[in-house]
Amino acid sequence: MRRSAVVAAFVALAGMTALPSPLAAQKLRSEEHGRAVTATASIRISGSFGSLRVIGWDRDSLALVALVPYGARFEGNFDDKGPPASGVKMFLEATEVAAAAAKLELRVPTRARVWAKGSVSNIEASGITGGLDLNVVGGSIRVSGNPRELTVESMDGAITVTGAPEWMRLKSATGDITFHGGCVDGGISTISGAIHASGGSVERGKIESVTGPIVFAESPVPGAAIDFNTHSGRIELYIPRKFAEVDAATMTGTIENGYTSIPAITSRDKRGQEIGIGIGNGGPRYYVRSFKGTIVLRALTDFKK
Amino acid sequence: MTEHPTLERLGDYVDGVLPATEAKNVAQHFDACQPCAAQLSRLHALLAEVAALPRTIEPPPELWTDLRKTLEAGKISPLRTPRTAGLFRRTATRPWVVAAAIVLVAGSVVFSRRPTSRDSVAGTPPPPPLVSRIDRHYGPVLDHLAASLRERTSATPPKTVATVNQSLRIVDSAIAETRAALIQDPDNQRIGEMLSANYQRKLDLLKRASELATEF
Repeated sequence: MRRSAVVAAFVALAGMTALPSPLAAQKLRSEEHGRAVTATASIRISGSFGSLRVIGWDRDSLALVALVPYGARFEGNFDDKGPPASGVKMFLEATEVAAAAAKLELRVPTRARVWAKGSVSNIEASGITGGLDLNVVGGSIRVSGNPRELTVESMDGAITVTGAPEWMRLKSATGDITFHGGCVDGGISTISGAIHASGGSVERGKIESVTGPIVFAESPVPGAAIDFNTHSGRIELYIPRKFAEVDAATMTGTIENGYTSIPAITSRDKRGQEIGIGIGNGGPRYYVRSFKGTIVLRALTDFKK
Repeated sequence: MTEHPTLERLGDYVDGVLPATEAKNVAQHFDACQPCAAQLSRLHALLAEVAALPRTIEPPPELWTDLRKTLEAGKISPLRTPRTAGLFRRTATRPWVVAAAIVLVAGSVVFSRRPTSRDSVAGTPPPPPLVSRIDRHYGPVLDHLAASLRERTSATPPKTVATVNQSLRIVDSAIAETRAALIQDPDNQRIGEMLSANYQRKLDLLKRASELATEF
């Protein structure tokens, strides 16, 4: 490991020792590992850890600094010598209580593909342009940067993504999902968690919830196609002024149209409301379906961050 | 020369289902017409290639490992009635599992038994075709995933169990509502789409829970 990497690892380790008081009693041991890897190496990490930071750096090597509980099993091929590895696997096995104190900081080549799965973990990833596949039950996941492929799944943890992934799938059950940025192909879904997407451009998107509210204020490119589907969540949709095609219907709910002066009409089956809007040519197409939720249409210029 | 046979007649000829006299005429045409003879030859070659393909293709081993085991073990069964809504509700047999179950039952309906929207009740008419089609499409795989998860109850962290069950209750409620609306308005394609979407969300949730249960 280079001198700068050692310094970075030392600083990271020093920062990681500042543990919250309930965990301070947990006896921890520090570990440092490193090895050469290829620029597009696949890195897999799984098990029980309280927090994980994944940082993309401009080196073809992997550096790992960890604080793990005494008695925990932490194994992997992260120390092997020899030619750069195209794949590194590691896992941490600890009791649920001990796992909460475990902290890992992993530096990988920016173009690496990282796969991480933890039980109750807080995961932060930044600076990766390769692929990220992150999966937790609880805790939270924060991603910043522009990974080519991004998959994030959580059960009840919050997901926050800031950046412009090319391909993105964010899924949560009860946790909220916040996306600041844009993407070419994006899918966001929750059961009851809230969805908030804004601040970038989208070409293809599918936004779904069962009861979770949806706020969408992205700037779709011309020709974009974005589908919304919810059972009872409120959908608040901010649409570009110049051009757009909107096909919105709610089976038993209502539609509030603040985008144009045309009111929604009673739907064909006499249950709920529907509205069709076409402004300009070749604009983004919004297809909105709700069973009993309220659909609110507004101009993108009215969106307040 | 007789006229060129249509693709349909060509297919019937290859399958040997043309009447004898018609088959004789077509055969004579092939003797005299080079393009049609070439087409016949290509069709025979294609059929030979198709016949050489394996009858089944195995999915990647990492894909739904346990579901695959269940399928291979021939444990496929029709939809059960009455069904239960809670996911993790396997009967506890070991004392510590019983104790854990008691604690969980106190705060949730995890182990309770209650019928889902797909249960048929004796004396009620069968659901409309669209509802039945959607039920049939999702029912078996949902049942197998749920059963597979129930078997791992004891190995799954209680917090995960609670979260999954909470979400399942929400999805099941949405399915019940859309399904009831579709039964009332059986030709409404929009409601049909919504019912399918809700089933799909339940499927996604169970798949994710299954993957997590496998991992931990």
